[in-house]
Amino acid sequence: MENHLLSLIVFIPLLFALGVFFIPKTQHLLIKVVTLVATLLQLVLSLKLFFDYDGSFKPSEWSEAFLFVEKADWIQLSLGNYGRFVIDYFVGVDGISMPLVVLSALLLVIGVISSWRLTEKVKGYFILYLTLSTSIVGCFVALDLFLFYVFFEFMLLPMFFLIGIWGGPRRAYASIKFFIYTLLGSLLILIVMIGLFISIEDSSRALKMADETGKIEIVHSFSLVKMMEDSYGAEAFLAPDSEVAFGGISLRYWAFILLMIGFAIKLPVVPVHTWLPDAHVEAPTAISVILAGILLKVGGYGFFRIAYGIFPDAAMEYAFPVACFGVLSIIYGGFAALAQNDLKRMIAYSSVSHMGFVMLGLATLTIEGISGALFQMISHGLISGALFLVVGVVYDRTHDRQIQNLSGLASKMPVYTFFTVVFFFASLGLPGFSGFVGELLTLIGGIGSEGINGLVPSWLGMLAVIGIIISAAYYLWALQRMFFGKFWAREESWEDKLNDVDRREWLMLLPLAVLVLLFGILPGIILDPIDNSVNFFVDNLLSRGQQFLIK
Amino acid sequence: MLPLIGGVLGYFFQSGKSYRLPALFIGAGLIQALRLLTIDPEVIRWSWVPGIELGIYIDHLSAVLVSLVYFISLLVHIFSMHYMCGDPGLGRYWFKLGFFTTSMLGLLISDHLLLLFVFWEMVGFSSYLLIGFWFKETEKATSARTAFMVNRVADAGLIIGIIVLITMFGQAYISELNPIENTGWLTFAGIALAIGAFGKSAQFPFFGWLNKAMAGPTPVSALIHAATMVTAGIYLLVRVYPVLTPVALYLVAITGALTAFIAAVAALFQNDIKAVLAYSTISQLGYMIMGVGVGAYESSIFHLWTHAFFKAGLFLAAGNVIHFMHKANHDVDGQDMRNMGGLKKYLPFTFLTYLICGSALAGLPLTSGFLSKEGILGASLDAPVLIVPALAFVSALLTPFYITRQILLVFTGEVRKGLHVTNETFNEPWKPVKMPFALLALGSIWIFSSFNPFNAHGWYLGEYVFGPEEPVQSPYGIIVLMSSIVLVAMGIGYAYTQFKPGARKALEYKNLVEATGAIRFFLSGWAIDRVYAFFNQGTLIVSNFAALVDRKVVDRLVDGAGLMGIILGKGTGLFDRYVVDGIVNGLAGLSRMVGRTLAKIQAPGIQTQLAFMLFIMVLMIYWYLF
Repeated sequence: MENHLLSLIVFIPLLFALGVFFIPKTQHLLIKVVTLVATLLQLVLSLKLFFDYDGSFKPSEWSEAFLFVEKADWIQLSLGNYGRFVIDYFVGVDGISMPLVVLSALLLVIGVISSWRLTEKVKGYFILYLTLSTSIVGCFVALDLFLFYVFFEFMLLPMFFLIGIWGGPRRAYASIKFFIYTLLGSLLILIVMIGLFISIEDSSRALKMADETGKIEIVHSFSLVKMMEDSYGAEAFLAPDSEVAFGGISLRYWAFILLMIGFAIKLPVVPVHTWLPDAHVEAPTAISVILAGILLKVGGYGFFRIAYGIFPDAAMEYAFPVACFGVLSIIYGGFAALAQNDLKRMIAYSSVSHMGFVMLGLATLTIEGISGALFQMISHGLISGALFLVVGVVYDRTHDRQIQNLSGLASKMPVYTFFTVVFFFASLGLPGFSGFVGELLTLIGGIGSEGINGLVPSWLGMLAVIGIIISAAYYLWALQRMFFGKFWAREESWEDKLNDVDRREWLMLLPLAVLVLLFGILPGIILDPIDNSVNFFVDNLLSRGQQFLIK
Repeated sequence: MLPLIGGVLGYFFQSGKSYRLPALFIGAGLIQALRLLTIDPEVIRWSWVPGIELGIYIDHLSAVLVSLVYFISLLVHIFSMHYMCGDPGLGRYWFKLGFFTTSMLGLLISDHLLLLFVFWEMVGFSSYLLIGFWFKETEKATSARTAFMVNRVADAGLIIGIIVLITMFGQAYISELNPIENTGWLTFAGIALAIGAFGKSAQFPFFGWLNKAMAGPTPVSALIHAATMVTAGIYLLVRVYPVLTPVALYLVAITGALTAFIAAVAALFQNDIKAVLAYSTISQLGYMIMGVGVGAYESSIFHLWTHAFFKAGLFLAAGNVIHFMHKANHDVDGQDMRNMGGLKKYLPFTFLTYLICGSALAGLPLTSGFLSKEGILGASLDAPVLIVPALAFVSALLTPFYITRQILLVFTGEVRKGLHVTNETFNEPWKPVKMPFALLALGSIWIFSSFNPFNAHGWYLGEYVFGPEEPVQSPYGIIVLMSSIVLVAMGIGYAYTQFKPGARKALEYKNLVEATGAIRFFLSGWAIDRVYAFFNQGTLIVSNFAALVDRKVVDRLVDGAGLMGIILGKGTGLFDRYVVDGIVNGLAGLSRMVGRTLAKIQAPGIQTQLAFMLFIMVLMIYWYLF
C-alpha cells in the first residue's frame, strides 16, 4: 500500500466510476453516496500523503527529488534505426506537486457536496465527475510526459460534457469555446512533447536493455526526470548546444514559447483568457469550483514542471516578457472584473488577475517568488473555490447572479454575508488570510529579483501592486451593492427564497474558511515541508540556465 | 504579550447581554500594559515562513502607547455602554471594537515591518467594519468603502516601501533599523513609507477619508479616528526615522504643514459637530507629521499623547450631545450644530468637559495641548523652508477660532430648534459613564503632562521613552511661547466677537441655508471628494474599456478564428465532395468504362477468351525478353 499510494489516489475514482456504471440510473442517492465515498477516500489518502511527505530531505539532483515514486513499463516500441521508444507508467511527487494533489482532493469532495441537489442525468454526471478526478490528480503526479499528456487531454472530455450538458443557457458556446481553446494549447504542447521525445536519450536504460537483448539501441524516453537532467542525445535538436534555429530563434526557445502559450491558455493569461469567464458563467457551481480551484492550477503546474523545469535557459532569457504578461494579467484582469455586473463573471476575472501573480512569481526565479507563486496557487484554489460556492448559494435561490438585482442581503442572510465578507477579503489580500501571503511573497520576489538575480526589474513588481488596489475596489463595490443598504430584490418572490445558508452549505463553506484563515496565519504549514524542494528547484534552474546560456 | 492575549480572549467570549465583560477585559489588559512599562525592551521572534522570521518588540515607546491605547479603549468601552445601549447589533459592535483594539496593539508591538503591515491592514479592516456598522444605510456603507479604498491606495505605498527596504537594504526589523548610505532607492523607500503613513494619518491628499469615517458610531470616532488608529502613521514615521533621507523628511514636513493648514481652514466652515472635530483631528495630525519631518519626533509623540486625551474627550462629549439631541428631537439632524445652541443648560457636565478639552485643542496656556503644540511650533522654525513654520503658525491661529465657534454654537445662546426635554429623558449619562469624561478632561490639564506649564520639553514620559537628552534651548524659545499665546488669544477673541450669543452670525445659523461658492468648497474639505470621484470615474472608464476590449476585440478574434475554422471546414468539405470525390468518382467511372469495354471483349465465347489470353501471354513474354 505504501508503495502504491499515488496510484491509489489517482485511480480510486476511476474504479468507483466503473462501479457507478453498474448502478441503475434511478438510484440517485446511491450514486451520490458512492461518488462521495470515492472522493473522501481520495482525500484521506492524499492527507496521508501530506503527512507522510518527508520535507526534510534535501535533494541534489532530479532523480532523487521525487518521493512516493512508482515506475512500471508501459509501452515499448522498437523502431529499427530510430532506436527504441519507451513510455513508462512513472509517477511521483515533490514539494511542488504534493500540495496541489491535496488541494485537488479536498476541492473534489466539496464539489460532490455542492452537486448533491442535482436531479438531472445524475449517473452520467457523476461518472464524468469521477473520471475528471482521476485525470486531474493524474496530471499532478505524472512524471512521464506521455502519461501527463494523456491525463491532461483526458480532462478535456469530461469537462466539455459537464459544461455542455449541465451548464447554463449559453452552455454550447461556452463549452465549445473552452474545448477549442484548450485543445489548441494541447496541440502546442504535443508538438514540443514529440520534439523532446526524439531529443532525449536514456543511456543507462539502453545499457540495461542491451544486457537483456544483447543489442545496443538508442532508447528514447518520455521521462520528465531525464528531461530535467538534460540527458539529450548527440546532435539532438532541442539540446542546449543545438544550433538549429528557426526564424533566428533557436528551436529550444521556440519549444519554450510554445509550451508557455499552451499552458498560458490553461492558466489563463491575458490575452488568451476569454474562455474562462464564459466557461465559468455557464458551468454548474461544482464545475466552476473545480475549474477555478484545480484546473487552472494544471496550467501553473505545467509552467513549473515542464516549461521551466526543462528549459531553464529560455526561462531566464524570457523572464522579463513572462513577468510582463503576469503583470498585464493582474492589472487587466482586475480592471475587467471591476466592470462586470455578473457576480460569477467578476470572480472569473479576478481569477485571471490572481493567476497573474503566479506568473510573476515564477518569472522572478527567486525563492520568495517561487514559493509565493506556489502558495498563491493553493490559496487561490481554496478562495476562488469558496467564492464560486458563495455565488452558487444566491444562484440556487434566485437563478440570478446580477449584482444590481439584489441589495441589502446582509440583514436578510447574516451568516451568508459573513462568509462572503470573509472570502472577499481573503481574496483581496487582507493579512490574516492566505491570499495575502501568496501575494506578499510574490511581490517580495518581484521587487527583490533585481537585486538577487537581475531577471525582473523592480518597477514591474511595484506595478503589480495596482492589481491589489483594484481587487479591493471591485470586491468592496460588489459587497456594498449586493449586501449593504436596505433589503431589496428585483422579484418579490425571491424574498421567501432567500433563506440563510443551510447545513449542506455550512459544510462546504466552513472548512474552506477555516483553512484560508489557518494558512493565512501559519503559512508555514504548507511552506515548511516544500521548502527544500523549492530551494532545489530554484538553485537547479538557475545553475543549469546559466550553464546553458554560456554555451 | 499578556495584554494582547487578555484582549483577544475577552472579545471572543462576550455576547450581547453581558456587555460589561469586554470592558472588564480591557481593564485587565490595561493593568498588564502598565506592568509592561516597568520592563526592559524585549524582542521575541518566531519563524513564519521559511526565510522570514517575524518578531515583536516592546520598548518604552511601545509600552507607553500600548497603555495609552488600552486606557482610551477602556474609557470608550465604558462610554459605549451608554451610547450604544439598545442597539440590536451590540454584540457585533463589541466584537468589532475588540478586534480593532487587538490589531492596534499588535501594530504597536510589531518588530518585523511585515508584521506591522499585517496589523496595519487589520486596523484598516476593522475600521472599515466599524464605519459601516450601520450598513443598512447606503450612505454609511459607501463611506466605509471610500475610507477603506483611500487607505488601500496609501497602503500600496507602504508595502512597496517595506519590500524595498527589506530586499534592497536588508532592514526588516524596527529594532534594528539604522542609518544607511543614502541612495536614490532609499529616498524612494522613505517616500513610499511616508505615503503609507499619510494614508493612515489622513494627510494630504488622503485626508478625505477621515471625514467619511465619521459615519461610524461616535465612540468609535473617538477611539479610532481621533486617538489611536490615525496616529499609526506618526508612530510608523517615528519608528522608521533612522532610514528617512533628508528629501523624504522634507516631503513629510511640507505635507504635514500643508495638511494642518488645509484642514484647519476646512474646519472653520463645517456645520456638523463631528465634521469640525474630524477636520481638527486631521489638522493636529498634520502638526505631528510636520514635527517628525523637522526632526522633533519627541514633540510629535508628546502631542500624540496629549491629543489622544483631549480629542477623545471632545468626541465623547460630542457623542453625548448627539445622543441627547436624538432623544430630545427626532425630527432634526442631531449632528448639525445649526440645530443646537444653548445646550449648556441641559448638559452642564458635558459642557465642562468640552470646554477643558477644547481649550487644550486651542492650545490655551495651562493645558496639555499648549505644551505639546508649542514644542512642535518651536521645532518648525528649524525647517528648511519658510512655508512650513508659516503654515504652522497660521493654523495655530485658526485652531482656537474654529473650536471657539463650535463651543459657542453648541452650548451657548438660544435653543435654535425646539427640544422636547422631559423628565424621563436622562440628559447626562449615568454616573460610571461620567468617569471617562472626567478622566479625559483631567488629562488635558498641564499638571498631568509636565510640571512646568511653560516647558514644552518637560513631559514626564519624555525621558522614559527617548532617554535623557540635553536640554535644547531654542533661540526662539520665548518668542514662540509669546507668539503662540498671542495667536490663541486672537483666535478665541475674534471667534467670540463673531459667534457670541446674540451675534448676527450666530443667529443666521438658524436658517439652514445651502452653502454656495467658496464656502461650499471649504465645506466639502477643499472638494477632495471630487478628486476621489474623478479617480473613481477614471478607474471605471479604464475597467469598462478593459471589459469592452475583452468582449469586442479578444472575443471577436477568437470567434473570428472559430468562424475561419468553420469556413475552412466547410471549404474542405466542399472540396472533398466535389473535387476529391469528383476525382475519385471520375476514376471510378473511368474504371467502370474500361471494365465495360473489357467486358464486351470478354463476353463472346471461350475461344475468343483463350485467344485473348494467348495474346496477352505473348505480349508478356515479349516484354520480359526484351
